[in-house]
Amino acid sequence: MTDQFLDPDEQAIILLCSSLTQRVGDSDISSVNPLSPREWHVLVDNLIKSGIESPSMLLEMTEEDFIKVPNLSQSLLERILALLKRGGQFALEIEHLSQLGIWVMTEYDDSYPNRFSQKLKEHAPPVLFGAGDKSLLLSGGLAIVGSRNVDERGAIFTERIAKLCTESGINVISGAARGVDGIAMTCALRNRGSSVGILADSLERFISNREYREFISEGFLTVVTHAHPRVNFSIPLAMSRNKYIYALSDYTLVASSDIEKGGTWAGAIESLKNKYTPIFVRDGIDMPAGNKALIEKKAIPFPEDFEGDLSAFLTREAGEREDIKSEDKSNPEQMQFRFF
Amino acid sequence: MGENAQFRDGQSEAIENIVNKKARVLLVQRTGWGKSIVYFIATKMLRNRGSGPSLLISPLLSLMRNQIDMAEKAGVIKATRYDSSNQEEWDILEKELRRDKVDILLVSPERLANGHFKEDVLPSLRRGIGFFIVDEAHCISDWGHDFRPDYRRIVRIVKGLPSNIPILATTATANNRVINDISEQLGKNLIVMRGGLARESIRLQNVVLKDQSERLAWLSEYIPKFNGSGIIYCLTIADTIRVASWLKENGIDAHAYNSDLIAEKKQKLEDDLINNRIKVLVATVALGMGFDKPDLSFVVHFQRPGSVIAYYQQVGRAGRAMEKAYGVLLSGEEDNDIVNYFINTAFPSNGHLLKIIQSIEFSKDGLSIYEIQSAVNIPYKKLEQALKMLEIDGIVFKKGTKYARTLMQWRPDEERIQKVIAQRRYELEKMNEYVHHKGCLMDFLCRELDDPEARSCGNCATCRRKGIPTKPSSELVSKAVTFLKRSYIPIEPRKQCWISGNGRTKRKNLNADMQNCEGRALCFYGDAGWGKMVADCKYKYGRYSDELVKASAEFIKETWKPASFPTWVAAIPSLRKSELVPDFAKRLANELKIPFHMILRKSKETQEQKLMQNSYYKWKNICDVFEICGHCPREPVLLIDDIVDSGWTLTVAGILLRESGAGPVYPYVLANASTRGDY
Repeated sequence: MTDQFLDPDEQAIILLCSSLTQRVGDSDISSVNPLSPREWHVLVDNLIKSGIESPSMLLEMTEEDFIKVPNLSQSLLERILALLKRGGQFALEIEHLSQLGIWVMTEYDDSYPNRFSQKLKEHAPPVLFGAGDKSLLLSGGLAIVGSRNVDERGAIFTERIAKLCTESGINVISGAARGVDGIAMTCALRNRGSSVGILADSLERFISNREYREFISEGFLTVVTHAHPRVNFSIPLAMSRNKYIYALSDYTLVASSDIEKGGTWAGAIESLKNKYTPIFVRDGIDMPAGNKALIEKKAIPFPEDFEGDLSAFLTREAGEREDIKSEDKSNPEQMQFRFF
Repeated sequence: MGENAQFRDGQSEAIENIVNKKARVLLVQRTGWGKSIVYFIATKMLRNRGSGPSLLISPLLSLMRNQIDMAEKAGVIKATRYDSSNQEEWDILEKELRRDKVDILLVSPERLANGHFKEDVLPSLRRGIGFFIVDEAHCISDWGHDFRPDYRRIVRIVKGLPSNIPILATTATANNRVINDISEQLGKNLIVMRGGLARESIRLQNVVLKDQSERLAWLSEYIPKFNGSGIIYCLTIADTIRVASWLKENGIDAHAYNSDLIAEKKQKLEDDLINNRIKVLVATVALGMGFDKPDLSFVVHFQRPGSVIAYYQQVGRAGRAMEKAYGVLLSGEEDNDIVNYFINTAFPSNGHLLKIIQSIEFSKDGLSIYEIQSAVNIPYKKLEQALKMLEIDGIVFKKGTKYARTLMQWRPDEERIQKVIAQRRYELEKMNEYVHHKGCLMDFLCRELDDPEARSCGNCATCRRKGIPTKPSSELVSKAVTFLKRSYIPIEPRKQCWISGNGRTKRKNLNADMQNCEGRALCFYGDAGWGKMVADCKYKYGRYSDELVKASAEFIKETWKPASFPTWVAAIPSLRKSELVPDFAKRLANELKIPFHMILRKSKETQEQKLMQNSYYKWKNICDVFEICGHCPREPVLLIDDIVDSGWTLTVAGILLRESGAGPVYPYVLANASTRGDY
């Protein structure tokens, strides 16, 4: 039993910012959209302006108390009030999850990855569900991503690099999905390396797999998701999850990508644009079209037949490309929104 | 609850705490004090202020039905229960919930773990759950006399509720230790509101009698002398059936009530009792917490419960709205044995738990309960209970019909189990003290429950120095002795058997023509009446007495009278005591004047069937040990064994006889030794 001791601040954030209390699947008249990360962080700014010191105070507030909060639309207020009423469903779900060994983490948690706040800013997910050692989320590493339907050469390449990561003590981050991500994760784990999976699929189902369960209990694997732990894979979910893979890693390696379509392409373009992390792309003869196109868009080529010191290579190559680094790593002002 | 109704002391304070302060309140008040009024009114007020419906969690249906009636009579709110017994109403109910038309939703603790309820029903509540009510809150405590594992889940849920949802926990029976335990578990900001426990209307009396026959005689003599209707509590299902049929024979309108009955039957019996249409229900604790009949005029215990708290609670059902009611405790020799049995079997052993966990761990995608049963040699009910504990502790989880492992590590908690067992033994001792207590009886009960207001009641048999006579007439006693010798126990035929193939074992239905007919056992093994004689004959004398042969023949001819009367007799063979059963069968056949054929043979030695702990092991131990030698008459047959346990031996032998062309098979055994631990 992972007994969850969620303090009232965390309770309020989970009620407002996660879909935990909603029905999974078809929405009906009862469903209320939780606040998006951006809506939440903007609300927090406005709450601070009106002297509300902590999210837990929201639990005690009546409709009238909200009058003093600036920039609060009627429809948002109604959503907030409705979400705050769902403490009953919340308590049942938290109990259920903790029974399965799933924890809930908010941006207030000490183990919440700083990288999210720094890189994603107001888009950082306020609530994460997960299983495994939380501290693994803080260790950075190389994200290995690619298509769900990977070509054979891409698969062999992925396995080789994942193995190289474990030999170099580099944590492997992935989307834990079919194809490149899953190959990278499994290969790292089977070679006794560590891995973080950021799911776009049901967390509850993922941990029912015996092999994964053992890696999780032994501390080698940590999986997280920003979605309801019972939500199944969907394209929009995978799309919204991509940026978390990039943001959590020190570097990202794209093994194979389609061009102008598919989740890998979209994720890489999004990350290039927002400079979440330096992006490497497998490079060699007869590469998938997407790989070439990404390199043209300033991703760093990663030789298919790479051998040698992986850490040194990643640091050197990324270091030489100052133009792709995110600028505001050291700006503490940007962190303000996270704290009341 | 008319317009001019006045609140009792404490009621308005409790409502105020709940509605205005959204507080967490533990209300310890005696039955009949009006705890439900607190949550009806609080719900109404919260609803008027825009809250979602209240969720009332209560362990027993009998309570729920009465609560619904009360709520609707009061006309303040709409209450609906949601449980497996009203499945056909779920669609309508769920619609009403979505439209926010229900004020109080009543559920059992188990319902909270149900997937559909949690994943579909609750999320559809637009305004969420407004108020949590946990009834019978003493079940939270390990120290409580009826701790329920499901309440551990309730504790975790309640603890996780955000502060904008008020909580009310109620109980009528909790001593300091239990209250402290509840406070500790539900959090330190729990407001405890507690009142005195003495029940002035109940006249308590203890009657110590020698054996079952004397107690039966006492019941038949004095139950008719009570005004109105009442309850007789027994410890086991078998006892409820026996006592009820004895009373019926003596012209008393008595009915057995226990967990074997289907829900509709239970409800009908409760309604009949509530409306004074029957004199007495002979019940196990299945007629339990919260059963509400304000004019119940007596509660008599045929056997002594395991703790003072349990006794107080059961006897407390009498006379809630009466000037005068009676609470009589009879007690006898077997009571300690039965309670000790319950105590000893309350927890599965760590060895068993480990085996269960391992079998699940090493399966590919989880195991069904039947698959686990074939891997671990423990009784089905125990396995069910063990799985429930493991589920609540988060060691396994159930998906559909399969159990799978969670991420949790399992560590045995021997210390806690031993602590609870020691506590229960202590409670049993206190109960024994009560039986022989020379002072005021109500005072004893209240003191044991740490009632700060405990004092002499002036009403019990000790205080009044008089009571109901304690000696039944000797005529009735000898009639009861005869009754006990005549009473029998049906043997239900098994309708399923196991089949093995491809490395898997499954249960399958038995064709109707392969099933045995309903059989009979003369008695319970070791019981007063014939039970002791069977045990003595088997292990001391090595031969069943002529008395047992005569009694059996008489019983089969006069009382049982099977539909198509057997024309021949077969017997279950044994290699260990090869003569015992065939010898008895031969003599019984003689007495019945029909032939005996030694047609069943045992082809190999087996372990004693009683060592096999569950259905699968029992079946496996004997599934291929019998063979037929000789010609099988195509006529109805009486199949004899001495002691029946799981019934597998009779089932396997019955199938063999039917396959060899025998007519209907009627099993008859001297004693039933199957676990009595059910209530």
